[in-house]
Amino acid sequence: MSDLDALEPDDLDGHSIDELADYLDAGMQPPDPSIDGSPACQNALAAILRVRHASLGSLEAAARDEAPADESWIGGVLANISLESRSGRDVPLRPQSESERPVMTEGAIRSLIRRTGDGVPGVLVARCRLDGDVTELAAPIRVVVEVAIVSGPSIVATADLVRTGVAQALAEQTDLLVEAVDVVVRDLLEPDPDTDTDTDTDTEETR
Amino acid sequence: MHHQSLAELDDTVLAGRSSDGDVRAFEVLIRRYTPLLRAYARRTLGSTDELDDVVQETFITAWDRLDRLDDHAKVKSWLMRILSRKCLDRIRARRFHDDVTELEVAAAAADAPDRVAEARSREEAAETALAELPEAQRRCWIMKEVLEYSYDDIAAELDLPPSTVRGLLSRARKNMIRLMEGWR
Amino acid sequence: MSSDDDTLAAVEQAVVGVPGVTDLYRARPTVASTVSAVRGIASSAAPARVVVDDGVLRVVIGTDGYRPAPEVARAVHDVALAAASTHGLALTRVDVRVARVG
Repeated sequence: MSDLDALEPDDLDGHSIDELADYLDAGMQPPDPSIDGSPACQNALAAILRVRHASLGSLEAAARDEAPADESWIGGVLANISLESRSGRDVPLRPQSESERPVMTEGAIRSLIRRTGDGVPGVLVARCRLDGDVTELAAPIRVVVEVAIVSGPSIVATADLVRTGVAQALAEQTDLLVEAVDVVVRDLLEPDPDTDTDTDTDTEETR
Repeated sequence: MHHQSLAELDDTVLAGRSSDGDVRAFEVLIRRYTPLLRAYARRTLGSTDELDDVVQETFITAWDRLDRLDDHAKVKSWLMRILSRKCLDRIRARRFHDDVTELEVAAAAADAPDRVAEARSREEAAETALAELPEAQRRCWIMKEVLEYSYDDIAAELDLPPSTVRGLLSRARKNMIRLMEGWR
Repeated sequence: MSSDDDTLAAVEQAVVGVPGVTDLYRARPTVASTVSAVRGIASSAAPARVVVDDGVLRVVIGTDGYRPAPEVARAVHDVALAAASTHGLALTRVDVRVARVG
């Protein structure tokens, strides 16, 4: 007879199986010595983990048996997503006459920032946002660009390239009053072994 | 750009870029998670013509609601929750008389352990065990363990008191553990 | 005075011809509803993508990312105003919305 037939609080040093499941969900924090120190509870926790793992695993296994998404079906999904829903606020451009009311969508600006940042070698833009009242012409705006950058000695210089590139693109393509462009390096990426060799050769001149 | 193509990026970056309006990033998420969503829909609705539609609707809804996703790393389970809701809507629309609202006190069938023991892998055992649970217990278990709903959200979704949900989950957990521990 | 449909089609064709305009969207754009700016696309059978509401013309465009978008928006405004006027339609305002840059 398996120990695991006994799953009532009397068998688990006063804890219910649900308390143990919740304890697991909370990452076993804050530590509870009456659970951590109980062999019966430890067995039950392990059993819960095994069951969860097996169940999720069975779904992943079933997923492997499904055909990959069909190209024309994907096209159908994309054809039906609304550009409006992610286009954000309308950002005014400067009108020069009474009959002009030009605006640019925030989504278009984010896309511009993303493309500019992605265009800098070694950079991947994760998120970008415009802080401030973009709906008011000439309101000071702070642009925040979160990026991942290739690990190495050029991180600061690369971040600067993103900053100046984005500032320039916004100056050319919008009428935003950009107070600052903050580049936040969120992640470091592994260098690409095929292309990132230039930093080595640069330091070899003293030979 | 870094040599990594969009297709290799992690969920957090893809979901973040999608939320910012990047359709190409969202397309990667579609490719990445369509098989999983189809598998879940198939288990929930059966093999039906509706699978394509319900998964498509899930992505369209997800695109609209990306700003509501707080933790972009959790986009997978979030997509599955959207799908699960749509599957439940379809089940209700079929007018099956599910006993979701019934206080389920029935135990798993007496020969359930035998069926589980016959499974050829731990994953298959889990699938069999889950199928042996009474309907209401199975629903709650899936919503908590697979879809990562909170207790209160399960209660709201199934229109049950939270205490009932806790009771169902408690039984489901014990049943699953007992059935799985019989598998070698 | 020309019919409304002809006027809108003429305005649409003029807008699509502005250097820097790459896309002309419907009022509620989905990815699929983009009407690409191909010169000469306007046939009287194609539904108009520019809308007039109480003397205000609304148009949603995408630009090429090279010519500055504010300039393109201004050019679209000027050209739309002129084309409408030629067809006897007096506009008080042209609302240009740039939904994509490059």
